[in-house]
Amino acid sequence: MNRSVEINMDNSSIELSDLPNEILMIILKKLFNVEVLYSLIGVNKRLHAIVYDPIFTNCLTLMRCVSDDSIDPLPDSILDRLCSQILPEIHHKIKCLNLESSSMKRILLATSYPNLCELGLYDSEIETVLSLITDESSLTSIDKNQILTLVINRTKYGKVSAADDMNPRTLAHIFTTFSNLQYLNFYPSTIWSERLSFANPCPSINSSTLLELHIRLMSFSGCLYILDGRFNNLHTLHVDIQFVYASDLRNNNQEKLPIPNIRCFSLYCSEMTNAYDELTVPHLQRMSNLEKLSLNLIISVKNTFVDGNELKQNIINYMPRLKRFQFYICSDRYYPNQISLQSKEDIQHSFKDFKDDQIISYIDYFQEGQHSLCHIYLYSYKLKYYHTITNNFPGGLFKYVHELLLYDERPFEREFFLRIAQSFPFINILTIKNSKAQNNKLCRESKNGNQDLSIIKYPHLTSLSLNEAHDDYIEEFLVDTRTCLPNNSVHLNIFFRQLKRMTHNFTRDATRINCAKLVSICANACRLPQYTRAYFPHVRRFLLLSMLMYM
Amino acid sequence: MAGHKIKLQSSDGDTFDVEVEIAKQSATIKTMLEDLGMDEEEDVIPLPNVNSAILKKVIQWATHHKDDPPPPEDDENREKNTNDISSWDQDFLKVDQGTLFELILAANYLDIKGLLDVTCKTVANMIKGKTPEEIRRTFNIKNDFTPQEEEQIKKENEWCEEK
Repeated sequence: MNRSVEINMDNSSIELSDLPNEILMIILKKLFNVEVLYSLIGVNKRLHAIVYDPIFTNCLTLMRCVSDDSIDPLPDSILDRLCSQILPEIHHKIKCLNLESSSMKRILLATSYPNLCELGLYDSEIETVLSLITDESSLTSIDKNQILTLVINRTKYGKVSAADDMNPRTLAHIFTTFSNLQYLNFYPSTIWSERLSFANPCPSINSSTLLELHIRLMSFSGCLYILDGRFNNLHTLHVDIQFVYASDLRNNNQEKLPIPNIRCFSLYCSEMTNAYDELTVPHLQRMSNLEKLSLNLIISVKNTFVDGNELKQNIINYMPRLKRFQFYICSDRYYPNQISLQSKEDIQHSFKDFKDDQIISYIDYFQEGQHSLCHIYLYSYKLKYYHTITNNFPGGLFKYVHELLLYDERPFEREFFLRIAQSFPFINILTIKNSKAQNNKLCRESKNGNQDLSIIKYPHLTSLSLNEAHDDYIEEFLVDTRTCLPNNSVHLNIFFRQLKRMTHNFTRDATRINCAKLVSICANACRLPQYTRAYFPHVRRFLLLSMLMYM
Repeated sequence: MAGHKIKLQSSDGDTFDVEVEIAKQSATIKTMLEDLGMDEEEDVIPLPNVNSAILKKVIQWATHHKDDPPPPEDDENREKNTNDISSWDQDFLKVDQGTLFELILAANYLDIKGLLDVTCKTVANMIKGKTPEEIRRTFNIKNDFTPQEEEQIKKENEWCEEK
């Protein structure tokens, strides 16, 4: 600046009311709709009119999303005013409601919702969901035939022992109750035993109106069940499957008839499958009109890795209308006799005809384990399941991956963990398998006294498994100057003797802070001595048999 | 070496020498420079909607953020997060309400997305969690509903509840 200007900003007389509506809208759009309504309805005529805009009243999420995995109810003061004043006032404008378990009935009974067409139920007991759907008195406030979109997510099964029966029953009731449903997201639970299976299929699971289905299933046979014609107008299917077994094929008597209606298909599978060739590929080939395809698979292969040529020959060539193909495929190949394998260059070369130039491929070789992993994927792909991270991990940001195994036959240095925390910011479940000592640890300690890099944070971690980790990695995670564990949320799997050694018989100050944050420990069924209670103040006293308990 | 500079003139006549790259964070100024072909140091860009005090603050903000990556495109579905204001911006925006609102108006007029975003988030945080009465007190807003109008709204709600 070429001159100094005397500034007096104390006398600025502009107030919030002087801002034009356009600016007020920009400000209010930074808030959740419920925050806007709670604070501004009834303030004055102008603000009252602004917050009546459909942008603030059409869709209400009446819960607090603390994180990706945690939902809290709204505070009572907000709920009281919502139910007594705000919802009755704007009820006719509400088209979409997202509700959590503890307040959903109260909100649904607070007023009528004559124009509601989208409903989301989160974090509820499955019995509550079922009773809500089947109990006529709970849903009198909405016109069930008008519901086009339904989301049932993160359901709990605390009091239910047979989730495999409860899930299909709930699904059957959904299609009976909401007769015009077009979009259904039914992701009841991530726990495998609580996933949906059709061991005892209900005949009423069918719909001629359903167009899009997002569903979490136990096995691939569930996917075949969905695709057997019972949803004859379904065009978009996203399935997240735990297991793909060859037995899924034997249990299904579908012929290889085409599935012409499906235009968009996503298949996520969290466990390794050895039925890719005989099950997954033939059923993909039935979807001849696919326009969008996403695959997130971990495959055990006998001969060659899945590469670009294989994808072209067996999948892409069967789908003439395919516009977008996203994938993460990891092939695991056992090679006891050192048979020649495709090289990294061979794999990358196989993608030369692919339009997308962001395809990444690399191979991990494990000499001791006599197997290798070949990863092929599109970097932009929002993958959920990344199979085994080694030192070869090329980096990138993966916000949707919540569970990771870090395994290598070479040591993991500290920089590696820093990269992992940055690339997987929402990691919940972390397992480290590495028996090799760190190379740079001694050098680093002598130079900088343990403080060479910033403390690594895992803010969403809930489970940490160090059973097959060298002592160096136990130090890496338990010493508070290296890792910051979140408060009171982490379960630790570890061998008791290692825990005792690395904490200097539960007296070491450097590991005290992170140990004090643990909520449970599983240590090969050993009992925690009474004198260690102060060292693990938040570890619950009574845990499962295999977990660490106080004597 | 210092970059090429231009002159910005505030509504009250003060002029400020500003590096072109810093000034170009304003889409309005960037368009003016491109459309008018102004590249001489003597050329003055008049900014009739921004006074000298606010323009100085805007230049201070733009200078600090000159190496920031371009802000992401507007996305209605983007996660609503008002807690990601950097500590420098938080300190920078510790100003009286009038100045904050003038900065918002200036950011909007000059089309500086990053400044508009952070100033609007600051006001959003001032709104968050407050009752209507607290909002009136915080922002000096008069309740212009008549008692009859308030009674009418209340009655409509009671009708809904009874139903």
